[in-house]
Amino acid sequence: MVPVSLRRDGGKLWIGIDPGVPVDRETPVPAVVVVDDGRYWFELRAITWRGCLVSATAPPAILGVALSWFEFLVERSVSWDYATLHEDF
Amino acid sequence: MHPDDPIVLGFIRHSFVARVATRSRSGLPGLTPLWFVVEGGSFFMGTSKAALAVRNAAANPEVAILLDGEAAGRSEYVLRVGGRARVHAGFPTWRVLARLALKYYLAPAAARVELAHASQWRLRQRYYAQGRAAVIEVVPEKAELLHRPD
Repeated sequence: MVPVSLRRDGGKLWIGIDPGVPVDRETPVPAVVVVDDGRYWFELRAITWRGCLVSATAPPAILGVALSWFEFLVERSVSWDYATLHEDF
Repeated sequence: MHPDDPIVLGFIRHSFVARVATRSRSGLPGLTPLWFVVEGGSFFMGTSKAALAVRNAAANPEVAILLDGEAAGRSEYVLRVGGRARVHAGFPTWRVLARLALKYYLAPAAARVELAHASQWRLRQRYYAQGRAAVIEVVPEKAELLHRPD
């Protein structure tokens, strides 16, 4: 598990990883990405994506060169926001 | 870095949400943000018995925890703690419950958030009543600082 940088560009999700972290560039790598926010119960919200990291041969220039960039192909997502907890009738 | 290192203790003191990384029996990764407290040197995280983190930790006890230390302001680093997990069915001990309550419900900032959402307490109670409680205990074995990418 490592902290990553997340960008959305051209309708795609990009994950930037410290170049020192070994990641297989030859085959898609199963990965889970979580973006979460809040400390206390009614502030907690998050989105979890499950998918694969695919090495980017030509990542968008906007992403820069300081990190290793991978396209993140999302297969499933789950999100929650406890402040919006409500009852459906 | 040893789990008792002052840097580790600082991250624990200033973190509210632990990102808990687990693996299923077949090796698929799971990542779950959970509240935590430390008691007697172990991390304790209360959740549902059906939660992915619980099922994975029961199948594969090697887990990792990522702490931001967010209450101390944005840092250049995050802390990764590696350890072994044990799953306990039911509610946490009274000591752990007391620590959770103090940290997440009774601290002044927490109480303000709770009071602002008093109309939703009943719904939260029903939400929790849907599942059976479980606790993940993690005994830390190692810790390291990781650079946070921009």
